Amino acid sequence: MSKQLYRLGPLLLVVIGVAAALAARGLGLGELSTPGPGLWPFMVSILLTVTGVVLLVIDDPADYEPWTRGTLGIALGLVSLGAFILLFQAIGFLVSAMLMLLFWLRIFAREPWRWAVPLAVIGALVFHLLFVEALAVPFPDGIVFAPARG
Amino acid sequence: MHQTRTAAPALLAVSVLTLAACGNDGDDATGSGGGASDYPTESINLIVPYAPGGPTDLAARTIGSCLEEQLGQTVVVENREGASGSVGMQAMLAGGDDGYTLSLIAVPATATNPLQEDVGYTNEDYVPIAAVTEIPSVLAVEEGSPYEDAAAFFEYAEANPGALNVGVPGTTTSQAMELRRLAEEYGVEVTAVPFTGNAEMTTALLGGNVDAVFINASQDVLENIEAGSFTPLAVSPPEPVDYIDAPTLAESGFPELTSSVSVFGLAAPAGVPDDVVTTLEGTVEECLGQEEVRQQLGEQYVPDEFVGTDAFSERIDQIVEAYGPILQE
Amino acid sequence: MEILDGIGQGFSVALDPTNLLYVFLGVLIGTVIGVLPGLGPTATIALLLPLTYEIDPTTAIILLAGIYYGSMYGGTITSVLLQLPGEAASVVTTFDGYQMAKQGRAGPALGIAAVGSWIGGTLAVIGLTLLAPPLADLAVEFGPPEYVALTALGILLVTYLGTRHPVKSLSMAALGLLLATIGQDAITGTTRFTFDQISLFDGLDFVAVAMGLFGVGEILHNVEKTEKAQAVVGKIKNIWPSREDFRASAGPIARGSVIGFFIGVLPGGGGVISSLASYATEKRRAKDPTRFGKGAIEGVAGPETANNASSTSAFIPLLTLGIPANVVLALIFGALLIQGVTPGPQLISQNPEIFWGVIASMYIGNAMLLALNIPLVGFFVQLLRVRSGILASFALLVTMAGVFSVNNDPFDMWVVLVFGIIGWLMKKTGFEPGPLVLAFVLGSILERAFRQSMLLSGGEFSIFLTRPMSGVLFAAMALVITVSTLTALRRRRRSRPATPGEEDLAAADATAEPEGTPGAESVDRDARTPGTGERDDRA
Repeated sequence: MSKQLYRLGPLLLVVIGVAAALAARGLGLGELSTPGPGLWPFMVSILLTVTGVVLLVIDDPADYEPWTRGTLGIALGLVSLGAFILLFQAIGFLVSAMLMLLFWLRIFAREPWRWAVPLAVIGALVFHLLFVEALAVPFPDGIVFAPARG
Repeated sequence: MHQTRTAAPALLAVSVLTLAACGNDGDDATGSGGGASDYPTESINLIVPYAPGGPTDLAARTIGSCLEEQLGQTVVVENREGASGSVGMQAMLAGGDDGYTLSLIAVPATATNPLQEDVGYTNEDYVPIAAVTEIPSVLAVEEGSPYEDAAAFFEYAEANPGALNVGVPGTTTSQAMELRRLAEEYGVEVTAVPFTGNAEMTTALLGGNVDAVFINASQDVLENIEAGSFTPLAVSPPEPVDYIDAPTLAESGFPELTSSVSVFGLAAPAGVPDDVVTTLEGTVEECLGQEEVRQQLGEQYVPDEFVGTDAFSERIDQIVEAYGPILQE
Repeated sequence: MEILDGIGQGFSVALDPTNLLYVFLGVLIGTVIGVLPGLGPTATIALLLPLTYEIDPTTAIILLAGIYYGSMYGGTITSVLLQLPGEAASVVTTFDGYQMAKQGRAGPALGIAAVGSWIGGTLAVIGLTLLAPPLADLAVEFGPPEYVALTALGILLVTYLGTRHPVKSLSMAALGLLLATIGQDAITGTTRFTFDQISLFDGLDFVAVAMGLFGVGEILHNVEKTEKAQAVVGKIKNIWPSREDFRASAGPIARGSVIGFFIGVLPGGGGVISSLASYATEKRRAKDPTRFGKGAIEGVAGPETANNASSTSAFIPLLTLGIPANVVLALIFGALLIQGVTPGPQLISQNPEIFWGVIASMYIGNAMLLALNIPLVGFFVQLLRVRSGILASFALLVTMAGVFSVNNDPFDMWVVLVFGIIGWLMKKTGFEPGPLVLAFVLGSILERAFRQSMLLSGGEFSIFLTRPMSGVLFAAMALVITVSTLTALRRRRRSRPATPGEEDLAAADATAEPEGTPGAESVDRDARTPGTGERDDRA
């Protein structure tokens, strides 16, 4: 059973292909002389489905890397990035960037605190200066250095 | 894809602006307000729902700097393109109806988008204030085309339904819908081939991939007509235009086909105080009387007769009436 | 003679101190902006456009053009160092460039890219000087059926990119084409696969997709490895390409210049297709194609050259016909219009100072870029001395900030995150992101051209074969498919006996591939399964 697990990848592609083909049909295929908005997505989904089916048969298990305990780390990393985006929308760039850098530097890069803290603070400040002050990217209003409107 | 930021970005601005004679935004403008109330008392945001460099952007920036001069308040022009203008319209509505967030709308697209799909606003959500420029459409063929005039073209089209390929800027544009009405109401059938803009349509016509284009007569098209690479067959407005030597579609035997004219104008969210509308309407009219502004906008595109809020609203209602049924099919 | 007079006038315009200053500013801003992922030339030029309304039109175009081709140099840097392609054309560079960096050869990669870009850019300007009008005619000859042929060729070339089975690449290309249909249909205005999200109306943003799949996917993949990642510091060998590198790159640079120049003339997709075509050419020509994707310098030199040559020749349709070839040139077109100058057939006669001045400034700008980039290579290579964990943290932050700045929409940050997950999963399952991203870019052009062709022909597929240029392109594709299928079959038969000690991807990461290893020929995984048998059990 576990030897067949690698086939999940192509299988997922087949599922996506079939679902998209059905959705595309719903958009209206039109005719070849007057193609509807669904025709092209339909053709492409069929291609995806066919290649997926072929891969189900021929794909080489050696292409697939095993799952490891490190996979847990990924989940943690993703959650931290998601939290960063939410924080960024709520309290702006500077503080959320500092927290995000600190988290990644300490947890994933395993820098000692004496490196992680200054790097996070300086890094966030530098990027803030670059994006907000120099390039005038309209980041959401922050709790520190709230940009003046207008 | 991209946006112009509101403020002048420091790093780039410093380098460029110090070299340019002077900055163009943030200047303290002088002059008195033209309205009854004390509006405006703070800076105005003017949203352009399309990318920089296009006809809406040009109209917005020109009228924006004139409003700034006339009203004595900074006008910040901001490009918020996306979703055929819907993103910018939503941004305007989100800005509130106090008259400090305005938008430059492009009719018919602005009016037809909500008829087709839920785009986050309806035609009741905004008030048109004044038209700034009007760009007609022109039916043009390539130099050396077998169709020398509108009569020859339409005669052939009538005899051979669907044989002629005519480039249009998308299937829901006024150009495409006029061609549909041409088939449905007059029995003259051509195949409309949708392209994404003037550049693509120009390429297709010059390369002989379509027989004709029904295109916005913007400056690049006028240039091609002047250079002789395009031959205009007919123009779309009800009255002939003096800078294109071709009859109107109405004169060519299709009296109903007069709606394909793009109007770029100022609009505000619905619910904006009446005196603000009056002030802005008056100021735009004043601006359009200035030679410098007319030059910048392209003299030929400034409406001969000022189109104020009532006339503009009426125009939008007509478009909704003419195209609504086709779009909701 | 006319050309000589023209170019003489051009240089007198371009050498004016103000214009010299602006061309320098342009290439400098372009380089800086190119380095920051997300802030491509489109965003930058859009940003600067209103400021140029105040300056002389020639100067404005010189500045904007400088930013455009300058950013093409800059875009290479993050592709090579961090696998973060900020521009579609740089995607191809990541394949071998990033692998070279991992082997401590970032210097030669960046160096050869700078030299190649300069040569490609300069040769293309010479081409532009001599051939502009006839080539412009070629550009309009390309109608919808020809675009179908060209982009289909691009998709076919995409399947050559991978180091795995071509069907895997093809299936990723199909997925990319499908993703490209998300958003409002450009032709009918119908929304497709948007799930009622207004942010999806314009489709997924290329920058978010590419940086998610490549950069973030790679970072996540590294996080999974539990050991503390070390800097590649010990492996930095030389910061300048060796004589051998130059020798290996001479051919690719020459071919890349020609490919880039001609394909770049075609409006739409020119840049991406030209770097793809160059990569595929070099891989096909190589004695040992398996080196590609593992740090072959030819895979950096050719596409980088082509990409710069094409960004120069893209000006031909704009300056001679008034047809902007891509979004950036459409912005430049807009800038000229606002200045009261309409680019078109009459530009050369009515505004020769603009036409020739811009061309002359390109010679100067390209030379400035070379001078600017050589010292920068040394500087950027030092970045790799930073521990990779720190580098990854900062790369993530700059990716997020950069992606937000493209549309000022937090939605795109989520897109990066989702595509980061997809990119990581793809890495684990041996699917490669390159074909997906490139097909994504070409998808909308291909679809539009296909539908227009069908309308033009009344639904007849024969339109693709009866027109000379698209007929030739399709015939060439058929030939390529036949030949490569045959060679693949022959190779498979030859490499049947297992070759133990085959390169493993992990091993390739750690040790530089000896150039031209003869045994590394077989791509077919069935040949190496015996050597990696233990992995099956764990899988």
